[in-house]
Amino acid sequence: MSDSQSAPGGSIRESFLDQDLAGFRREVRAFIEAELPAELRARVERGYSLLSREDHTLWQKKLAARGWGAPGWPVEYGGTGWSPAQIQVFEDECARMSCPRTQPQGLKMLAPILIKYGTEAQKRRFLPPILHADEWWCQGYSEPGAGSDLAALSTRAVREGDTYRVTGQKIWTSLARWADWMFCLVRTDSSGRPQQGVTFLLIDMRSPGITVRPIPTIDGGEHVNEVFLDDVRVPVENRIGEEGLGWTYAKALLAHERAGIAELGKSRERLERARRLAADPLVNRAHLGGDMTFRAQLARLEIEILAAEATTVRIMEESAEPALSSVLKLRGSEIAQALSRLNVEALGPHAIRLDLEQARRGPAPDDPLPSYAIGRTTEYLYWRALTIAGGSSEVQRNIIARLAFGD
Amino acid sequence: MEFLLDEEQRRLRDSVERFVRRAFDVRQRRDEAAHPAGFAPDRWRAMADLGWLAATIAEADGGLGLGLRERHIIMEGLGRGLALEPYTSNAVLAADLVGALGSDAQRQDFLPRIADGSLRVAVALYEAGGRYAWSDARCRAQRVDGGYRIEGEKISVLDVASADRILFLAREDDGDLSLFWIAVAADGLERREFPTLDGRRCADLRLHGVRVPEAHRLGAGRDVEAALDLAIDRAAVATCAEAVGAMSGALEATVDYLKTRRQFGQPLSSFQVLRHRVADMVIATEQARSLVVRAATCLEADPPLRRRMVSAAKVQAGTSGRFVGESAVQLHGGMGMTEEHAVGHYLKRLMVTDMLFGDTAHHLERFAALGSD
Repeated sequence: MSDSQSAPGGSIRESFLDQDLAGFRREVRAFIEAELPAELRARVERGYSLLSREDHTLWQKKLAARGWGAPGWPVEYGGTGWSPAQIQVFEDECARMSCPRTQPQGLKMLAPILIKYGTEAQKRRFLPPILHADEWWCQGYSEPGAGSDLAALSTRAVREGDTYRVTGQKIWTSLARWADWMFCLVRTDSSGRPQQGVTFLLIDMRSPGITVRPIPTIDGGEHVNEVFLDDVRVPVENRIGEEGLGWTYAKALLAHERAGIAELGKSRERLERARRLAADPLVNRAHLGGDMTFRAQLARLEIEILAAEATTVRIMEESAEPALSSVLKLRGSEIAQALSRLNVEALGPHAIRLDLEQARRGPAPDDPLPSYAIGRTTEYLYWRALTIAGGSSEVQRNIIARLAFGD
Repeated sequence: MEFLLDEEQRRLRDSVERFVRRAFDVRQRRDEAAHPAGFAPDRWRAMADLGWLAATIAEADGGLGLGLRERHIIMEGLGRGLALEPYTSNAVLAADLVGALGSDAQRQDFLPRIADGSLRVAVALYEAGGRYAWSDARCRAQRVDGGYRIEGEKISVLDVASADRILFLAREDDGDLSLFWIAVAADGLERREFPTLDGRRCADLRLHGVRVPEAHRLGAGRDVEAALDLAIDRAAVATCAEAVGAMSGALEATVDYLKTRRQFGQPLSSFQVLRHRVADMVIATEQARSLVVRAATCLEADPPLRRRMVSAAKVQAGTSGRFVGESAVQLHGGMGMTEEHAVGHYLKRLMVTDMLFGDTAHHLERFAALGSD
């Protein structure tokens, strides 16, 4: 009978199923311990939303140097060839050990579309700089009038010779201020069904006519932006696939976006963080871990994580159940939100203080709380977006229902 | 009548609603919060002029001698307006504590000035690691010549930035709790200012041998712990009323947004799922409102019943508040995440009202421990 004790940070599931996975996990952990600078790790602990482009670039380059820059890609483009379970272990470990979260725009959202629908020239041009973090991407999908109803998008692209002239506005564009490029859904035709007149363009953010305006959010950050496009010229060779098929390309890969957003590793880390806070005498003299309500809440959430982890592997094994990616997006976002709230509650009256300034500058000796306890309320507020972005929970439930009813 | 307002109360409620609609604008909040005290002085003066600060202070002490219903009508308005002013610290907690524990001289000295807004007080109760168990206070008040020497630390003390005085909870040599009236600028008082989660101000305090004369101890010869228990319960219910106001504001903003915002060729308010969510927000708000009124009537009951009902109201307000705040943000979509819209501020206010005077977990435990009728 296999060892039913879980290794520190490991899971019972994997030691039961596959001894090789335990070895793989150790290898990943050893890499992270050797390569992740302690100072960067501490900053990620306080809130990964505070990281800079340089922080993300540094980490992505280290991963790429190890050959681990793009676990989900086909091997011929730089992928790792890992099994779904291995990918899950890798992402899990990166999250638990507070590695900078992979920015998904280039690596996870655009790359699959490029790989499936792009020309060889486009793949050669754009995939390596994504892999090596030499170029950063942002996603130009949502508009003020096109949120849940993305097909209502109206940013206009008019073909003129060998360029498109693009005018319109995108909103909620993460990373627009860092990004070198934007992958963008634009309208090339208003005559038929809305979905049929959409084209997928790659837009150089240094093009004349682009203005980026940050949107302050309730967590005190400015992660998202408005992007105004005013007669921006885009060469035709920067169109992916055919005119009018942009919606098809984007939709095919939205499922990827959904699965990616579950990020269960970070939920596991927050579970451990809540336990740490409960046991820290600066926060809770009477160890909160002994409190039955708290323990029961943690137990329930850990079970929810276990279910979602299992679903993740099913999706990666390309299960025939089409609803799964929406299920995962929904559950992953709800679990993360519940855990962020539990972390805030574990702080008690400490949480009344807004510690954004501390989170940004790093720990000082006479700070009221240690570094790992900082940034919890900011993260709770930032994560309210998890059930809104990437297809809101309401949209996910519509998708699941449509599949159930065969509409 | 338990729930219906009488004519005077209806007039007060209408006057509060008019004032809040006129005087509070979420777009000006950031500028107001940037004032040194954490809020714009003219609105505080206006509240004082309206008698709000004097509302529940006894007439003999320079107040209006109104009741808790009136206090809670004002609190609801402040919640709805997302007020930055230190109303709870002054007109609720400090006023109640000085009223209950102050000597004649102390009441005459402090209460009229609290009532007219010229004296501002912060109340320091909680300590690092202690969560909401203020009665486990470890801060020490050592008897020395002519008074006391205070030593210890408090966290997250609301409204120190605008305060002249602090009411500081410490334990005397004989083990009893006492409250001490300390100047913010006192020798040996170190303070570390922070913004609060919801746009206000708080501070951590560290006292190194702060000298306090005998005349500035509150509660000599009284049961300070019992008086504190009552005052904190009263502040808890007042905070629940504030939360109900914030819930109402969040609900109204959400209904307006859903009626205006169109997707898929229709206003969002036509989608059943969203209508039901709003219905759930109404249920949460109204249950909280009902229980807050009932709990308020129990504030004068014997401690076991009082504490039980206060905890029930705090749990209801905390649970409802979280649900309404989170739902309001969710239903606003991306807009709910912006600093510019009121709903995010309502969510943050509702988080803080849950954290003040015992959170939901604390009160759930207290309620359970108190057994049943």
